[in-house]
Amino acid sequence: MHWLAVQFPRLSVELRERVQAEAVALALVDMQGSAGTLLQVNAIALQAGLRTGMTTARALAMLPELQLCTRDPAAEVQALSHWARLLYSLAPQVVLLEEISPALAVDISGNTRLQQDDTLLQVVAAWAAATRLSVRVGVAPTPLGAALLAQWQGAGSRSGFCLEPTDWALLWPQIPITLLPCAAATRTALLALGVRHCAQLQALDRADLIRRLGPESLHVLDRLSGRTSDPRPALSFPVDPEVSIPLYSEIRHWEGLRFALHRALQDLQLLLRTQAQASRSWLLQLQGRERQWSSTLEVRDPTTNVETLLTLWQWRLQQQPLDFAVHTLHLQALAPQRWPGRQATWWQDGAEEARWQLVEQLRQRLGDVAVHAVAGVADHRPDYAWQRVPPGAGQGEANAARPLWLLAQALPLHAPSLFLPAQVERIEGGWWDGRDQSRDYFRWRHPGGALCWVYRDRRQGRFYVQGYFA
Amino acid sequence: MCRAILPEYAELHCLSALSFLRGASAVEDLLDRAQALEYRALAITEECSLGSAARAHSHARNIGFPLILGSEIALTDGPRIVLLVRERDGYVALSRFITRARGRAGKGHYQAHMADLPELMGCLAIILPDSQSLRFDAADAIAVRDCLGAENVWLGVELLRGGDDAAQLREVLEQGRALDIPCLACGDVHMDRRSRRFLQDVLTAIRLRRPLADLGWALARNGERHLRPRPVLAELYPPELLAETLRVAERCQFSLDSLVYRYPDGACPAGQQRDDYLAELARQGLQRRYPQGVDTVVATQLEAELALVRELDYAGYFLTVHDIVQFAKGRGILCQGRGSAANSVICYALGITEVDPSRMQLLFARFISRDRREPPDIDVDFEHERREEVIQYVFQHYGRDHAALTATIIHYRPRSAMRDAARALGFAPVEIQRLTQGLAWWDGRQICPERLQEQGFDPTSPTIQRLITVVNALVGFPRHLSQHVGGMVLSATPLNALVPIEPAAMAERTVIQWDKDDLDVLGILKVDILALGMLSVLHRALDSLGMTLADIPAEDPATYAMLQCGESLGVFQVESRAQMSMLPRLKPRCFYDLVIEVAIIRPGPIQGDMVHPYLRRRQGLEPVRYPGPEVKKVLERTLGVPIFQEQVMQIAIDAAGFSGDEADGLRRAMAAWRRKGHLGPYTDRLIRGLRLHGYSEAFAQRLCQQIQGFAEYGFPESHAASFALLVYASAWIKCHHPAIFTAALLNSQPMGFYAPAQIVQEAQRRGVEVLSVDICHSDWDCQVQDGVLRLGLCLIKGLSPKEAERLLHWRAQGGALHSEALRHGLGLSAAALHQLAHAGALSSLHGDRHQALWAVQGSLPLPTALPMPVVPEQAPALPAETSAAACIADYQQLGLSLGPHPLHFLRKWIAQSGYRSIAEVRMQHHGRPDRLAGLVTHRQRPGTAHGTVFLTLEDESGMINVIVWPQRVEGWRRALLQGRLLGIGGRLERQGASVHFIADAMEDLSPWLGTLSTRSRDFH
Repeated sequence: MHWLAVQFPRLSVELRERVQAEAVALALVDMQGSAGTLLQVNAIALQAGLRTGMTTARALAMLPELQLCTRDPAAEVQALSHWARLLYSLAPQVVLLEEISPALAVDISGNTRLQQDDTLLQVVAAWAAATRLSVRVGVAPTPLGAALLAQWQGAGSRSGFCLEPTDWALLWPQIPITLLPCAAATRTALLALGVRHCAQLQALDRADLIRRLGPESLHVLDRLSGRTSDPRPALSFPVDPEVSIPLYSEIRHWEGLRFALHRALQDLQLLLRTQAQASRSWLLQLQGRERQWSSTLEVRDPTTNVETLLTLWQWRLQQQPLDFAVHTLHLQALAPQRWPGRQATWWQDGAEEARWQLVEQLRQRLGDVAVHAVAGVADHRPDYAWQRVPPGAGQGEANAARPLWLLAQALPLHAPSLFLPAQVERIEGGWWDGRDQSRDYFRWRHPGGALCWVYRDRRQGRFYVQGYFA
Repeated sequence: MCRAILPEYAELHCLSALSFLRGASAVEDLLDRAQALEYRALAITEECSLGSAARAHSHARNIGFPLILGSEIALTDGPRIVLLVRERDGYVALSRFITRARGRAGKGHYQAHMADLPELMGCLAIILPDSQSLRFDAADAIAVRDCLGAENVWLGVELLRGGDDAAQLREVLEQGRALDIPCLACGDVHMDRRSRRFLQDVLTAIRLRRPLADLGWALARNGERHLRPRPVLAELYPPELLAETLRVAERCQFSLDSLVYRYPDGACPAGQQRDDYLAELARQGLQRRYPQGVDTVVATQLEAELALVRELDYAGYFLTVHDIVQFAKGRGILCQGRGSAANSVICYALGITEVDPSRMQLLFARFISRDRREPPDIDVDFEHERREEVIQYVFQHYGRDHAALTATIIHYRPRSAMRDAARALGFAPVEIQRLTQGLAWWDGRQICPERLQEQGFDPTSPTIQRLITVVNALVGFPRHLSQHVGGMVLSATPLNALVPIEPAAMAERTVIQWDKDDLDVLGILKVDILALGMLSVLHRALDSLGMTLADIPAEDPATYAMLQCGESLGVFQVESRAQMSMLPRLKPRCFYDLVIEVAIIRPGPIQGDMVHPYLRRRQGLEPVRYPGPEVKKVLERTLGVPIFQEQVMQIAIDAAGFSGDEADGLRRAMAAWRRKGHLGPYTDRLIRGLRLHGYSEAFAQRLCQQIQGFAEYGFPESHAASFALLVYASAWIKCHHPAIFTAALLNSQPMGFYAPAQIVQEAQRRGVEVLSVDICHSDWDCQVQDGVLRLGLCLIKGLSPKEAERLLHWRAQGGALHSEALRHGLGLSAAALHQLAHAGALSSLHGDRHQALWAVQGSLPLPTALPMPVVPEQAPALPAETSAAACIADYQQLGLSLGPHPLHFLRKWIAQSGYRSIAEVRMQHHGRPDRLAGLVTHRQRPGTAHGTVFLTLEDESGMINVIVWPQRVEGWRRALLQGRLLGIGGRLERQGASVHFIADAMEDLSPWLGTLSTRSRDFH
């Protein structure tokens, strides 16, 4: 067998680098209290002499401008998923080596064309350039061996390719213990015994070693060498359910698409319900001769309800004119998830459902950013005592009576009848975030009848309307 | 508002910075501000504390402002209340109340219950509103009223511009009427001025351990909790509520001056007067000290001291200290008085100090002065490992109610201020680490923006500007209360009637709430029970030799010869870099030379430029002249150069006609010179007196200038003499019994200037054979047998003394020592076995560390309850331990290695980089350029060195001192702060036997050390 492994030595820092405005020295840290160690360093930091395992204190002493960051698991999963799909194009069995995280391996045994160094390297190098990630490649008869070769080769010792079993039998014993994916305590214990390479580990009596350190290290050795098999579950790449409907004639208006959309939703509903699935995210693509249009609809709960989705799509589509002739409608349920359905009660009160439907419709009509709820924030300063939250999020807290209508921006107030009363609510604070305030708040009846919430800025001496009680 | 019609007011609820992490202003600032606002009085009411009472009393008295003492209490089963002291009994009751509340909870906390209130007769109470609703619970209020009496209780109305002040006032007044409890105005004051609001916010964030941005409602709505001007108060409160504060203030007439402190009688036999008993003990003591007969001068001095002690009623104090010292000596604990007390013949006679008055010129006025009106202060050093026995004896003998440790107020320093400020402002942990590590211990109290810039922060950014402002405000601000290192206070009457007592962090210790600097208010006497590592060393060494301190031969030439060569590593007081350089120049030949040696390397003589003149005269390079016979008598022993405080005082007495008390006043003026910038009236008095006695104007002026050097601390001669006794003793033992000396030093760690690695290397250099830790031979302590030093199990990092004790007992009983027997027979823990194996202590049984660890791991039980068969094992095919690996493991587990020095393994690369060994460089001529590399063992930046940094580097061939001039320090700052292995380019400077290396290039080679564990000792 032949396995190709791809290891990402600087995945976390390189993902962070993408969002930096300028090139800086960057290191991933593992903070334990106030002390930390470097887990990964980017190329700039490496060039400055920083190394993994270094303490942050030492690193910062060497390079004060070093930026420290922590992991972004979501970004890592996304990047690895993308690479898994790329490797899937080489061969169907792609596995994740969690113990060498992050590393992926693919069984290339059946693909003789790829078992030539140049081709493999060129392909992977191209992907690395396209994804802007550093990778190390290893090929070996076992997946673990390939991944360790990739790591070891990155340390500058030798080529990461071993295609012949006889060569592998000579190579794997030289792999350093420090690379073995065992528990840190086991590795430390082996190093304390003077065991530096797999060959020295193998030389020890198995029973004696197991009695002392448990079987873990030997099991790793067996899987590494190929003495025992190393079955791993292959990653799956499910296809999102989709349906394409060619239109009998080209359609240039949204109303004309309704029937086709209705049918597409029904087809997908059937498809999803047979698998007890539903989706929160729906992709609609309209194909014309000159161009294509697409849009994704997101709903709060997974659903397959045709009428609900149709109404939402209708509200969405009516926001913009259809300016080309459509000949094919394509609808896809993205990332379907398991959904057993919902049990209706005898005295079903549909108020909550209706409320959410209204919210969804408003979002489709006005856009997501235009529909939100308001929640209180624990801050004495009225300007910062509230925030926009998604519909349905918590209400937050408030500690005093406040106007129902709070202006986004306070209005200067000039009124001859205005004066500062004896009793005011004095609010001071915010110096720590650069938004320090010192204000005296009070209620004031506008000559026009409105009951205003007014404040006098104690530094400027001017009056402003912050909101209205009535 | 017209001044004449402004209502009068007394603030009755106010917290200062000594309500730690709540109040934002010093108590002095609060009193000054209250006076400036023309309040009628101010009550300082710390939370469950009277910690600021003494300093508040002093300051209020100085400025002539009425002070009321009290305390804010949050009852566990009731409301928050402010208790105000009305009269003396009330103060005593409150102090005891706080003591009981504090004693129920751990350090920093308290538990006060409603049931405790009835004992507070003599106090008035203000019930505070609920902090959320700002209203009162009726049941709680009635309960407090019933406990203390309706005429002693008020409802405190706090109008802080919360928006509903009018409604709040209305409701509270109604409640007051309904409950028949009068109301008064109070301000919940936390700061003297509104501008301190930012600091008060920061303290809240620190106290609640959350960033400011996350505090939400926990922060105060505004900055109203300050001492507000009376026009403002008049707008907020109805006049009757303001007037009520005056009625309360008028009833509170207590002053700390009405308290009487009485020192315990000491161990005085019944029926005998203290003074008579003291005299009896002292005269008997002198007889013992001088079996050949007491010198007339000494006897006369004794009687003079006894007369002054009788006049000032200090006999009890001396008897107490004598009692404590006798206890220690009875237990075989080495001890010795230090400081100005060594000027006293009484102390010598009682065995408290060891400075022989027949050999030294003592000045009792330095210790006790009639005019000074300060109680005596005797510091006694005890063996550091046994000091706790002495402290617990004092607690047991005098009782917990009559004895306690004094407190020390811990203030923020730059690093701790930066840490807390950055957390409060929401900096991430990684950023906080970077901010703090950029600060060096020599940087001073204020934060320099340049430091932050070096760490990659923009000092002009608003965020960093705010950080700097907050940090600079925090530096020097009180942080928390801690216990003094050894100052104990004793009282004949219950101590908790004078000041509250609370538990310390250490078990079995209690501490009063007053800082040591506050004791003078009541004239409370303090005995400093201090720990001195060298006494432990001497005790161990003398025990091994079967000797006592008195058995050590005096004035041994070999000992002085050793010191003259600068071979003083481990010797008390003279082992520092500066002392090692001075010894070959000063060349001590007698005991008094050691007294000078101890005192001359101090800021006082250095700043006063006494060191070089003294050395020149001693080396015959400069003539010694005296302007007059009186001066000659005083300065002859120091070749005409004043080195000791007492010499200045003696000159003032003998050559300028000062009395002893006046001379002590001059001494105190010297101490205050740096703060005030002048000696006050003493300059003219001294010059006039000297002129009257025939001394020239030039000499008088020069003497005044030299005196100013003593503004930085100079040793009293008596103190130097006390220390010189220990210098000589430790040097003699090192010279004649180096192995025993080394063992005693190692067994008394941590202490001293040097780490175990350097101590052992020094012993080896002196020809001591040192054997490694060995389970078959080592005891817990390092031992010497037949002149060979065996390292002890105490050096093994992490090994528990209890496990070691069991092991030694097992061994003594003939138990087998292989791993199986230790594990299954003795039941030694897996951790202990691993520690022994890692330290190489099993090597004689199993071979190198690898084999030993293999054997240890094989002896550990399997994770199964099933009985497993014993399977014979073959010898494991483990690689042999290399000597480099052994060195790393040695340093990790023992802090030292008996094998090659770590740099032995790096010598090839060091040489390839152009660096030579220290021994080679030391042989160079003066001024020759060279390059060397070494491990950093010490870093120093003395305050007198104007920014110069001194390093000590070590390699396999020896040690050398490196000097980094101030203009280089900033450029090499990171290497200086962080470097463990440094490569230095520069030139050698030689002054006789004293050698330094002046650096002009520096390279941090620390990455070459890999995982080698080293630490340097850094000193200011």
